[in-house]
Amino acid sequence: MEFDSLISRPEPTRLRAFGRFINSVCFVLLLIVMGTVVYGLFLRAQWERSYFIAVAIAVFGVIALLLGLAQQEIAARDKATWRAMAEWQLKATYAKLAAQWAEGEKAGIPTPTVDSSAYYEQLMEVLIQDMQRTSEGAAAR
Amino acid sequence: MQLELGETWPRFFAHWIAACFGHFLKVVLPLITDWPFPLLSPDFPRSWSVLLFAGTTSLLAALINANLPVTARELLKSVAFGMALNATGELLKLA
Repeated sequence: MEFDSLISRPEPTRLRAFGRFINSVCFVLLLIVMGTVVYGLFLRAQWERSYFIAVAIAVFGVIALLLGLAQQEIAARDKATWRAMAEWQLKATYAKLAAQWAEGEKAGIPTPTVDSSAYYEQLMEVLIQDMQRTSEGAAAR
Repeated sequence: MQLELGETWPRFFAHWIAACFGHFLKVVLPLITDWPFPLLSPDFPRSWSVLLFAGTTSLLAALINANLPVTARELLKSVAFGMALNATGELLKLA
């Protein structure tokens, strides 16, 4: 049975690397724009004192935008980590099921097909066993 | 499957701020390009009027872009939108 096809994850390709490159270029451009605006307002503030309020508001805007960007980045990374953890669990489960079915075949028990209820029963059984062992191990530690 | 990201207030505000930066870029770029010769022109707008103009025109950009994610790429689009709105306002002599 092919387990990797069950859990599809896009492979890192040249196109994805290009997308990441464009993302970082855009971030640098955004920083340049914000820096230019703050610097321009500062230049103006030297001729008209009231512009220091605009400088302060612009600096506040820069901080707000950067915080928002950082928060998005952290949220995306958390999501990716959870996804990876679930994938490891599923891969381990399928590997264990394959071993179980191979032993069963040797003993003459036929391997259940995907559309049979036995398939899902065994899948859930192995998953639950795995989770119980993990939580027991965590409690013992 | 969810096909649209949807509008949220954080997205709205992030794109609003980005569009305001684009608007201000159009306002202050002449100051930087004329840097060796200080710009003493008296018709440079007051800071509060620029802020009000930027805030109100950028509302349109924020309303339209409020369903975009908050990434550097999408924020750059909002910056361009804000700059374009300022140029439109100047051409129509709104401020």
